[in-house]
Amino acid sequence: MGNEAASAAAPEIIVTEGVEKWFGDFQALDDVTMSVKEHEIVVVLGPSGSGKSTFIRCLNRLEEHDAGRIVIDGIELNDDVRNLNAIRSEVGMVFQQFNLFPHLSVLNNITLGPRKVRRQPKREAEEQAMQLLERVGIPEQAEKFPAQLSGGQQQRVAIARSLAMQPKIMLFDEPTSALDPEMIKEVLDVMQELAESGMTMVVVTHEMGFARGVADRVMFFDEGALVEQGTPNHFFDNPREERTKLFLSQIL
Amino acid sequence: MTEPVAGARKVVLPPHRVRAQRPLGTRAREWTRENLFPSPAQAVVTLLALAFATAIVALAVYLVLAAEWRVITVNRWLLFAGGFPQDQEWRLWVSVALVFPLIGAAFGLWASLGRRDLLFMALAAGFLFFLARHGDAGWASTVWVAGSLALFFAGYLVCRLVPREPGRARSIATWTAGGALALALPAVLAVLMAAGGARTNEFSGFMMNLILAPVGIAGGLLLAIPLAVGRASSLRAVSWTCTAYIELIRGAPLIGWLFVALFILEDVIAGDLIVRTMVVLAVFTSAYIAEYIRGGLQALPHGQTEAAQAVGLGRTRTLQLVVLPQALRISIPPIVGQAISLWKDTALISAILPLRELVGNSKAAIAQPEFIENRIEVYVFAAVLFWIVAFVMSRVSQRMERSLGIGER
Ligand SMILES: Nc1ncnc2c1ncn2[C@@H]1O[C@H](COP(=O)(O)OP(=O)(O)OP(=O)(O)O)[C@@H](O)[C@H]1O
Ligand SMILES: [Mg+2]
Repeated sequence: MGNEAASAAAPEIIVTEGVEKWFGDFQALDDVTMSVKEHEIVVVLGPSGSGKSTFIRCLNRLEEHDAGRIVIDGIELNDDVRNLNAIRSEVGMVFQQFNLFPHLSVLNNITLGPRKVRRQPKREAEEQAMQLLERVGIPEQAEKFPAQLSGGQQQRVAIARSLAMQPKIMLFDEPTSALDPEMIKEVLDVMQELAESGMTMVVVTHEMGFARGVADRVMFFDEGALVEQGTPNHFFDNPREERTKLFLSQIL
Repeated sequence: MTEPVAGARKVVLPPHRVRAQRPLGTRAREWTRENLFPSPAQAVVTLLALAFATAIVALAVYLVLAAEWRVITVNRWLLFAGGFPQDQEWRLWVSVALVFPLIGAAFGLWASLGRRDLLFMALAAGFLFFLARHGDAGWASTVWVAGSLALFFAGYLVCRLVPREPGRARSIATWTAGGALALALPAVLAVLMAAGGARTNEFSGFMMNLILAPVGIAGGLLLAIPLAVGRASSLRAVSWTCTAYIELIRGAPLIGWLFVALFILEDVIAGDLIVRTMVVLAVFTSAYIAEYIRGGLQALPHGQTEAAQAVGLGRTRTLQLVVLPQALRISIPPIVGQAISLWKDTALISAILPLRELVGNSKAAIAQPEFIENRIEVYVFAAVLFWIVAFVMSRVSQRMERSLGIGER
C-alpha cells in the first residue's frame, strides 16, 4: 500500500525456492517458490488446511522445511544455530492465540526478549516497551497481567512484544481469528499503521477488507502449493486459476 | 404397581395426612429403617459409624474429665527437643521467632485469614500458652511464645498492606517473601548449629520432625526440577535415566528407603544417621514431585514455547523463563500434598531408625514408670502437634491456589 513505487526497486528480503514440508506421508507444502521485497505487505489466503500456517512458520523455523531453500535477509535457514538465532530476532511473529506469557505482566512480556536476548538494560527496555504500548494504544495496561485484558488488547500486546525485538519482518498467523467481532478493528488498525510505517509483513488472514485495502500482493495457497499471486485488484477481480475462482466464490 | 381394579377404588389421602395420623413411635421406627438400615450393607456402615462416634465421644470424655496432662508438662523438653543441649534453648526460640513472621507473611500475601482461621489460631495460641505456662516453667518461654505470635501477626498485617492486584508492589513483596521463605531453612539450621550450637546428632523430638520434613521437601524440590525436565528430554539416555530413577524410587515404600539410610548408605555417605535420613527423604520426595512437575510441563500449551522461541529465546532460557515458572505454578497443589504427606511420614522415622523424633520421644515419656498409665495423653498430644502443622500447610496452599489463579489462564 503506497509502497509499490518504492518496492519495485527494493531488495528481496524473503526468498523461498522449491520449499517442501512433509508430516510423515502427508505433504503440507509442495514446491513453494516466492519472494517478498523489503517494505512489502503480502497477504496469504487459502482454504483451511492448505498450508498457510505451515508456510509462514517455516519462515522463522518454527517448522523445519524438508527440501528447498529459505533465505531471510541474506541468511539461509539451515541447521546452523547461529543463523537461527539471528533470524529469530529479525523476524517477529504474532499468533492466532496471542500466546502471551500469562505469568508475566504486560510490561515484562514485552521486555523479556530485549533484556534476555539483546541484553538491553532494564530501564531502556522498559522505556521502549512503554513507547510500543503507546503505539498500540494501551499504555495504561502496562502493569496488568494478560488474563486481565480483552482479546483485542492481548493481541495488541503480542504485537508490541514482537516489535520490541525491532524486527525487519513481521509474520501474522490469523491475528484476528480468535477475536470477538468488535475487537477485530482495533487490531487491524494497529497492523495498518505498522504497514504504513514501512514494515515488511506477511499476513495470513481471512479479513478480505484488509487484503484489499492494505496488501501490496495477495498469495493464494491450495493443497500446499502457491497457486496464484498478484495485486489485490488482479486477484479479487481477475483471477486466472479455477481454484482461485472457486475459493473466491465461496468466501465473497 | 398393579392396575387399579374397577369397583375397588380407595380414597387416597395426601401423604402428610397419612403420616400425621400415625403414632410417633411408628414414624421414628420407619425413619430409622429408611435412613439408617435400608439394606444389610448400609446397616453395617451405620453400625461402624456408630461405633466410631462412640469411641470419639468416649475419648473426648476421657480427655476432658480424666486425663492427666502432667505427663506433658513434665516431659515438655523431652517431647519438643529431646537431646538438644538445654543451655542452648535460646537457639530454638530464635528459630521459632524467625519462622513465625514468615508464615504470617505467607498468609498475608496469599491467603486472608477468615473467621475460621482466626478461631483456629486462637485455639492454637491458647494451646501454646498453656504449654509454656503450665507446670514449673519460667516466664521466659511465655515471653518467647507471645513475641513469636506478635511477629506472626506483624508479618501478616504488613503483607496485608500490599495491594491484592498484580502490580509492581505486589511482585516485589512476593519475591521478597518467597526469597525469605527459601532462605528460612538454611537460616534456621545456621541458628541452631553455628558458633557452638547443637550438632546434628543432638536433634531430637518434635524439633527433629520440624527440620527433617522441610529439608526433605526443599531438597526434593531441587532434585525434582532437573529430573522432570530430564524425563521430558529428547535425549534417550537422559530421559531413560530419569525415568528409571523416578520409577525405582516410587516402586518401594518410604520404610524401605529408611532401611537403606540405615544400612546401605552408611558406606557411601559418612556422617550422622540424621544426615543420611535427610538425603533419603529428599531423594524419596524428589521422585514424586518430579512426576507432578512433569504433569505441569505437559499441561502447558505448545504455543508458549513457540512464542518464546519467536522472540529469540534459546532452549535453556525458554525453559527457565517461560516454561518452568508456569509448570511449577500448575503443580503447586500436588506438591503441597506431597509435602503434607512427607510431614506425616516423619512420624515413621523412630519406628525404623535409632533416631528419636516426636513419636520416639513420646514412647520414652511413657516408658517412665510414673507415666505408664498416660499413653493416651501423650499420643493425643503428639497427634495434635502433627495436625496443627498439617492444617496450616493445607490452609495456606488452598488459599494460595485461589490467589495464584490456578485454573484461570
Ligand atoms: N504438526 C503437524 N503434524 C501433522 N500434520 C500437520 C501438522 N501441522 C499441520 N499439519 C497438517 O498440514 C496441513 C496444513 O496445515 P496448516 O495449519 O498449515 O493449514 P492452514 O492453511 O493454516 O489451515 P487453517 O486455515 O485451518 O489454519 C493440514 O492438513 C494439517 O493437518
Ligand atoms: Mg492456520
